[in-house]
Amino acid sequence: MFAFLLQSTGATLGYLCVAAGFLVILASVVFVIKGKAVLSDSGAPNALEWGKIKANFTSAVALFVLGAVMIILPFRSVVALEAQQLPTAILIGKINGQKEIRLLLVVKPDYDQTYRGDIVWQVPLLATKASYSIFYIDGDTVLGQQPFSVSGATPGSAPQKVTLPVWDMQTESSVAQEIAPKLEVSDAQLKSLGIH
Amino acid sequence: MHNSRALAFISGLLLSAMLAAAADLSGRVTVRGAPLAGAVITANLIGARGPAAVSVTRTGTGGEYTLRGLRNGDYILLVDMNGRRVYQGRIALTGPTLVKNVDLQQK
Repeated sequence: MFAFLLQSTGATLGYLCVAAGFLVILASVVFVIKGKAVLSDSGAPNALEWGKIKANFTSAVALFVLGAVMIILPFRSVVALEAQQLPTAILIGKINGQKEIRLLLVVKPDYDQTYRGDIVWQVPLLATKASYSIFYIDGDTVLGQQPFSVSGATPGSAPQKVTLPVWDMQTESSVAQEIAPKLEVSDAQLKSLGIH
Repeated sequence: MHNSRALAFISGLLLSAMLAAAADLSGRVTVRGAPLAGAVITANLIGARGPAAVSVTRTGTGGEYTLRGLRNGDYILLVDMNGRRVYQGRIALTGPTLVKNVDLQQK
């Protein structure tokens, strides 16, 4: 909880609010002890007396409650914000070999769908400042990817439409088969460099 | 003595900035002059490791591609179409920009 408080400007304001709440409570106690909260010597019907402490009940309690509210509210906000944070997991594994392999996290099955024909796919935006990529996969082969980004999306706003280029599977397949591979670097050289 | 140290420090900074300067690789992929759209372009920085060592993009409708922010060095350039390797070559990126056009032939 407290680590999160240190991560934002709102948390700093929350700290200030809590500190101010403590000061207000302290002030209410001091006012009561000093007798500043007493209305007058004529005596109010709701005056309190406890030893040397005399106070108007309403004003002292109101000051105390104000301080308490100032302390409680930021913590309630933090608890509510923490409830919105996604839980995390730590993936542990091992890759043998010299080549560094890029790992891509894909959430399945919610964000993994197959289409033929028109694509209408409402996806969640996992971060406000992030770019995304759609990967086109045939079986186990990644045919390609289409990056896209969405700007100005806010929680509760209507989904923004992103138009993807037409993926012409038939044409690409036939074109690829007709091309004569041009290999200026041999497969053996690539293998020696750790590139596949 | 003091000035020479400052000069050496500034020179080091400039050298680091030059080495870290980002470069752009662009070009067109064609088949007998016709643009090849949708091909996957992969540039692998030879001898480097980490996420920045591999850059990937896809050719546009005109067969054009651009890879931005590359480090200078020797690269293996790969062109894949529909999961099939159609070109693999080696290029040297030494300046801020390099244009590498690939023209392929039909069988």
